[in-house]
Amino acid sequence: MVWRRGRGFAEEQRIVALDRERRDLDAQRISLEGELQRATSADRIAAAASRRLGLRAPSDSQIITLIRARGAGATVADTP
Amino acid sequence: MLLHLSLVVFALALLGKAARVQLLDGDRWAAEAEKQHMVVAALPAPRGTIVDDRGEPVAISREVLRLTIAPNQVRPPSAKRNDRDSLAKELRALGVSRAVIAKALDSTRKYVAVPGVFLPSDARKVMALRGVRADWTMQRLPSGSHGLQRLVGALDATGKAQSGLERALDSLLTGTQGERRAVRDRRGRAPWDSPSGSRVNARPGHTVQLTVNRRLQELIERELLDAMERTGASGGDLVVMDPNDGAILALAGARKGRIAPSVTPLTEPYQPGSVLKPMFVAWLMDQGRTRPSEMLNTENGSYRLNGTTFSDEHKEAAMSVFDVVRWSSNVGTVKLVTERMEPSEEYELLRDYGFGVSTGLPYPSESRGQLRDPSRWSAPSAASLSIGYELQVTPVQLAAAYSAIANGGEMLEPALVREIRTADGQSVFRHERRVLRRVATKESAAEVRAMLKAVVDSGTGRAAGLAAFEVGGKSGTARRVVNGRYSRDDYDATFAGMFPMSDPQLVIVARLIEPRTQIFGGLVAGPMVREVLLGAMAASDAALDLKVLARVAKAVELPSVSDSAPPVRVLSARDEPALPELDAVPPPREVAPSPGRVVVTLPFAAEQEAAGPRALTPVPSVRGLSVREAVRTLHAAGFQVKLARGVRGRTQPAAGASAREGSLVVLERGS
Repeated sequence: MVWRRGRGFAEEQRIVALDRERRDLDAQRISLEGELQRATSADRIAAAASRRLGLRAPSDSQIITLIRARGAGATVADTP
Repeated sequence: MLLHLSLVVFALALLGKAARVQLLDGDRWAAEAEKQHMVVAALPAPRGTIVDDRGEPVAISREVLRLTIAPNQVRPPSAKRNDRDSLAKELRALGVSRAVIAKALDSTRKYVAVPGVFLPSDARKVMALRGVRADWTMQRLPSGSHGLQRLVGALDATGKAQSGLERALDSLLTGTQGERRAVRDRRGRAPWDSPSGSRVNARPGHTVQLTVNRRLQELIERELLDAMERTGASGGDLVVMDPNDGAILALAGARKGRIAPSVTPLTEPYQPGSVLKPMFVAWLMDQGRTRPSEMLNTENGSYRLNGTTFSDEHKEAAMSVFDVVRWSSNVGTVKLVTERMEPSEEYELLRDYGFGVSTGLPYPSESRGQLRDPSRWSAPSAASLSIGYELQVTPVQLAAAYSAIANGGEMLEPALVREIRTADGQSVFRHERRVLRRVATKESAAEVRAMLKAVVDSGTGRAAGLAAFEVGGKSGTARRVVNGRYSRDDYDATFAGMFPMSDPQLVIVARLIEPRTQIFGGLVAGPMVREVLLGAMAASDAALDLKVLARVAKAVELPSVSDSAPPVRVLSARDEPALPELDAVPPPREVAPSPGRVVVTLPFAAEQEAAGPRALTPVPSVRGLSVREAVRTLHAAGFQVKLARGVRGRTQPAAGASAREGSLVVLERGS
């Protein structure tokens, strides 16, 4: 009975360690997702594109919307 | 005999004590044993996550560690290891200040709390040292733009909701604590969930999905700050609403050059000025008291009533009701409203559009604005209200009112929360379009939309117009109240727009406080609406139905471009700083190896000989092209380019002459 109980404790400690590792990884995941969001924010990308590449926002007549036809590739809509 | 008697007494005492322990105090001792053997701890419940309209977290809870150190328990240095050095090194790596590290190494101290929280992965090494204790705690991690964080609000250090949606929705976001009971092992450690213990899991709080679109939110915040810089305004607000279901897609306020600490479009009402005029016209048309083509005497732009003079910027002797809206005639509107509406009707109309009442949004400090009861009006009140004075509205209320005009006359309940789900994904609330009341018939709403379109096409709101799409809206310019009086210098400039006019998908309200370059809403706030629309169209995920837009876009004839055209001059001025880059010799062309087998003859010939002489190519003519285009053309023909002053567009060798590919062509870019 003592052996069984000791074994139970050891297994439980392993489970606890794994649970801690899971929580640790969860916390890291949340951090990394936050960093990803910040890095991909339009604000940041637009500023960098303007500063480093000299890009600017298009006017409405320069925007062409591509609409995917059903069951086919992309087609150009009849925008100006 | 005496000995026997003593033994019997002792045995009886022993039996008595045993009986007392077992029978009388048994329960108490069992409880005491249980207490020493078992450990009970609360399991904190994670707070519910707040996500944006696409499900990306805006506020999320994660488990982190707080560190405390018992310096007097840290192992003293030995020949084999130096824990004090290790502790100092690890704390430095965690970014802990020198002062705290010094305290942590002071072995006369019993307890030092390390400020801040740490990821377990970062603190693993320091946690392994003796004398260091780590406690799990929940941390609320906000993400997204500043404005979005203001809307969501914050928790205090103890995890209690302090502001914003966190506070308004606290009961839903807070979970239910769990409990764990475990048996201690021989060293006193307590492995959770031991077979002998028990566990009641914590139940996380609900997930709240907002209606806010992150892309639009970023767009409006950037535009707000840009507009303030452009116009010298001291502040501003922007709200974007979906007029078809009342969802607020983005809202932000800025004050003194930065995003405001509270959500000012909800909390700070102001006198909006002429943006209210279309509502009166719609009501009067519905009552059959006017029609768009009716001509009104607009008194050459100046009209005195009850001791107050009302004047127009666009002065005409007479105007149609349509033009009263298009040109924002104060005289026309005041005459229409004061001569054809009772004060009680005017009051009820404004109440019906939601002014002076709370929108019902879950934001703790939302203002309901101010609309006085007619019994408290002064003589000029009826006229003042018709042109947007003597009442205070929030930009969100204005957006809701314009949404009613955009969707055909239905006043909708505004929404900030799209859905609330339990931790296991079960929906407990979902925002659905809810009509509060009808404020205008479909016909009069359509007539007013036509007027709003004319405002942008040819009226006071031309700066909000787009080339390929129809935008509608109304400007408003109102004096600000400073020290209890209307200021002559300080204005609130507003533009309420909708887009596209064939079937509006967005209503945008832009407001600037004390603009300095211009004061008129159409001129300073109109461009804000235009810029937000341009940004939304250029993004693929900004809550616009691009398929519909592609269908309703107008054909635009592009102007022919000459060197002296203003856009070309603008582009040339923009390119000027980049010219030194263009001067640089382009990298040599890489010859792509052709697929297949390569036969090499040994000994290996020099590369130049193997390549042979380069081909002769005529130099292309680049006259009439911008410098950038000219350089690109010459590069494309295989030449290297050097810029020089001279006759713009002339090259050396001259256009048409043959030159070896890769040789240098001098391009003259004007004096």
